[in-house]
Amino acid sequence: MEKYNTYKRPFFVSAATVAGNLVSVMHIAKEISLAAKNAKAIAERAGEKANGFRPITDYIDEMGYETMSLVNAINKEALEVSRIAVNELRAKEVYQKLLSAKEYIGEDVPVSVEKLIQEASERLSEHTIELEKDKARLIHLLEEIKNQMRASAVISTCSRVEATQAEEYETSLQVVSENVDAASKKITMIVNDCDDLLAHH
Amino acid sequence: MKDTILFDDGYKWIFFGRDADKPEKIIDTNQYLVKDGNRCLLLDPGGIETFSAMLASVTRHVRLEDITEIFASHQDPDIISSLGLWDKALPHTRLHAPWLWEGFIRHFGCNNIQYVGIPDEGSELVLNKTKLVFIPAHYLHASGNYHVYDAKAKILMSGDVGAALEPPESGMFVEDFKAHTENMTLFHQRWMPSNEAKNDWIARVRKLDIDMMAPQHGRIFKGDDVKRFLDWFEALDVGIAIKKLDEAKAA
Repeated sequence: MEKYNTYKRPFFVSAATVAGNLVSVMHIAKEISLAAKNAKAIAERAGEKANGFRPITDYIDEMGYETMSLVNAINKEALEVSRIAVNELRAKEVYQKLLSAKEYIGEDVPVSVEKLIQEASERLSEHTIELEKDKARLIHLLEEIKNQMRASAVISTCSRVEATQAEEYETSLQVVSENVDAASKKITMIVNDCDDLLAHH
Repeated sequence: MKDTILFDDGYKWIFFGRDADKPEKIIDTNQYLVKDGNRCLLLDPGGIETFSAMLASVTRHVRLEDITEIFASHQDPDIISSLGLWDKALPHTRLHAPWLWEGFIRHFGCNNIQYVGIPDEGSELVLNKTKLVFIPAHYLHASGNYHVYDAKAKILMSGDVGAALEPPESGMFVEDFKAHTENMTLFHQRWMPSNEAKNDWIARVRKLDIDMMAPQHGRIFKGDDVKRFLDWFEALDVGIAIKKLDEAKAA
């Protein structure tokens, strides 16, 4: 185990781990949508007493769906980044092996071998550029989720205030607000962990 | 890549496969994970082309540091050509694979992972709560070949035995055994070289208590379909390529 703790994760492992971690974000986003549906039902029952709360439930519901669709997009992107990182690693290995072969040959390296090395180097550069682009896209998508969670924190504060106006329904609506707040915090924590994973490369 | 939990009682058996995004011309493969706390076993982790999807799928269920063991039933590329990448992703693990194939499998890249050669007579592996037996299946189809049996879960991971060639969108379990034999016949006749080895394996496997037989390609057999498979396999003549050549010469 010490071997695992002390070694530097290859980038393709970090990207795949991001994809894996996002599964729990998906579950939490589903919980948010469920909370929104419960809140809607309570707000219906509360009638005029929940007038301020009702529009917020639509927003929470929408946020749950948007988070789910964003997580889907990030999941695909993370998997793609991991795949490209594997390709880059393989291209790097090919390039290094060809350089070793050149060393074995010593003097008078045939033109054909030099050409192979040149092509391998170009392929490696292409993979590296592609990887950097996709990595940036992935980081951007993670940032989008964080923005959404910041907005969610504001909404849960507003909903807590609105809940106080709902008289006997206040407790139930407060629970909804707290659930949304807790879910947003959990998502932010997971996304921060994903950021950390990617930042170490 | 899809994942399905096959057994969940103190530890888990998880299936991975039916990868709709895999490159079209490579054969679809089934991978399995035995999740037992901080000691998990990855069975036949697959080829280099499906590595990324497999790695991402596995991270949904376990922390990578908890995968301490890998098993390769034999040396084929669809089984273990990803080894060089796992070697970088999981440098702390041990690979349990046929002793016979060590010098060959190492060609895939095995600098960090420890190779534990399984002896001809088979061996056992104990995780935390799970006891697994590496059962010899030599010449089915590789000359050094093993299956994995779990007596508590009553699962036999049967490598290429029971394999079927079907598209990735096919179902998880055998539903119509008779119809399924059409997808298995040629595979077993052509890839399995020896009737003697086949019958020896069947005699040993009949003594095991099996609820689920999980091959490396195609659908999983459950309940009575396990016995149906053993009967069908017993009656099947394998190693047909040589006979066909003989027939061609005679004609």
